Amino acid sequence: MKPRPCLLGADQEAALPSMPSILHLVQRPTTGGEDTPRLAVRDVYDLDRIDLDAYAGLVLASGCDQRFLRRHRQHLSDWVRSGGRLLFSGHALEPFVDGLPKHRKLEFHATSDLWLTEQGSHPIWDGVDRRELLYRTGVPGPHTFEDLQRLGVAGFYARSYLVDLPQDAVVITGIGPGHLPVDVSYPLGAGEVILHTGNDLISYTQPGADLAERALAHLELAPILAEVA
Amino acid sequence: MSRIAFLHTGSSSHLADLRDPAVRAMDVTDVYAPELHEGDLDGFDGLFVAARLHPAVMTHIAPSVVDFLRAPGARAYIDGENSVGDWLPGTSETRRGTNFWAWRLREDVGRRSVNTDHPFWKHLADDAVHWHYHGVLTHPSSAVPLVRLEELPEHARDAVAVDPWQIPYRAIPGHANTLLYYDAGTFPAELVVSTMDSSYHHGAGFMPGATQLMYRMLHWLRGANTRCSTPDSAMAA
Repeated sequence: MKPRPCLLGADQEAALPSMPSILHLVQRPTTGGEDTPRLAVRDVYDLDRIDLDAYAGLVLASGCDQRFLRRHRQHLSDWVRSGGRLLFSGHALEPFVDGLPKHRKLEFHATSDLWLTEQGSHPIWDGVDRRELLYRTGVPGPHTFEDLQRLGVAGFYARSYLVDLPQDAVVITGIGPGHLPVDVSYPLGAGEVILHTGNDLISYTQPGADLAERALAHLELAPILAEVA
Repeated sequence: MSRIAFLHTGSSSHLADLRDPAVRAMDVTDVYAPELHEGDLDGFDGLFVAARLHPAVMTHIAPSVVDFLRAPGARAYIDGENSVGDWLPGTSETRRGTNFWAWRLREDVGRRSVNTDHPFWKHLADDAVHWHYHGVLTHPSSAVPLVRLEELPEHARDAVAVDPWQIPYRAIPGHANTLLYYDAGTFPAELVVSTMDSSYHHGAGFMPGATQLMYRMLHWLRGANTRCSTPDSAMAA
């Protein structure tokens, strides 16, 4: 296995050129121009040409070709087992990583069918009021929850659920009156698979529920980077 | 029996569409675009180009899609978010924002069904085409716009309306502003093009109107017959 960078103190990090520690795979061509110091954005079809071991975290966008990803199940599973953290948003229809639960449709007719409730603890979601996630609206400006009940649209965050969870999985957020699993985490070897069954988690950047920042912070601390420390 | 190719790039919505029992009942064939080779669309009567194909794959296979349109009696539907302006001869596309909250505020964004006496409307319905859109089209003169955005007097009185990504979503002054058209004159095949991404939203389980459009287009494609051509425009004459 290739040597990996170790965790450094803040003063040492400042002396190094920034190298993104999180890989974001998307369903479109990329040029590298969207990269940030934390995030390398790449076309999912370039996966064969990417050294996964250079990254602590992997964010799979909801639109990624799952027929293609399924062919990389072993590769992705091995990387997680060695300490990587994988965050997948969307509907998992193909088993592209070991232990992946199955996706189920949800019949919904009212907001109560889509109501989100906190279930278990996880660093990305701890302290986040699920009411901040329930509605999405394009009307500019901040809105109270009461306003959003009149003008917001529910269902972007989640509208389906997962079954056949691994035995040691944690259900983080539940949906509807049955609190069915939509946010789930499970360990795989030394790493972790985190699933959000809805629109891309890292698109949630609003104050009070900045799941993008929380997710990136969690992925960066994956044990894979500390292995040689 | 008509054979329909469902051309896709493996996104979860595409895979969900293909597993939908109602879609399977229409004898749709799974055609995975990243592995499409020249001639693979030969023998199909109908072609459904799924929404939001991987853009590089779309560019790569566009010649095969255009080739398909050269078969008399064939029918093709191109679903939204496929940058048709970059590869479909005679059509341009300009991005428009997405207002997904209009239905809650009863905002009139200016979307209208037009040319409602055209025989193609027997394959459509208002609820199949009035949910949202991602762009406006210009098109060849032989094409008949069936849904378009219109400038409304009240729009002149308020500020430019934009979506959360700051993209304006109303009609562009002086533009054709077409959201869906039917064309039986530019190619030997009949063609419908839309900026509504029905197969994305149906597969994502998120918009009943999208399901209406996707099913209706598949029903229409089932009427394709490369051995006997009767376009809807001929029926109108």
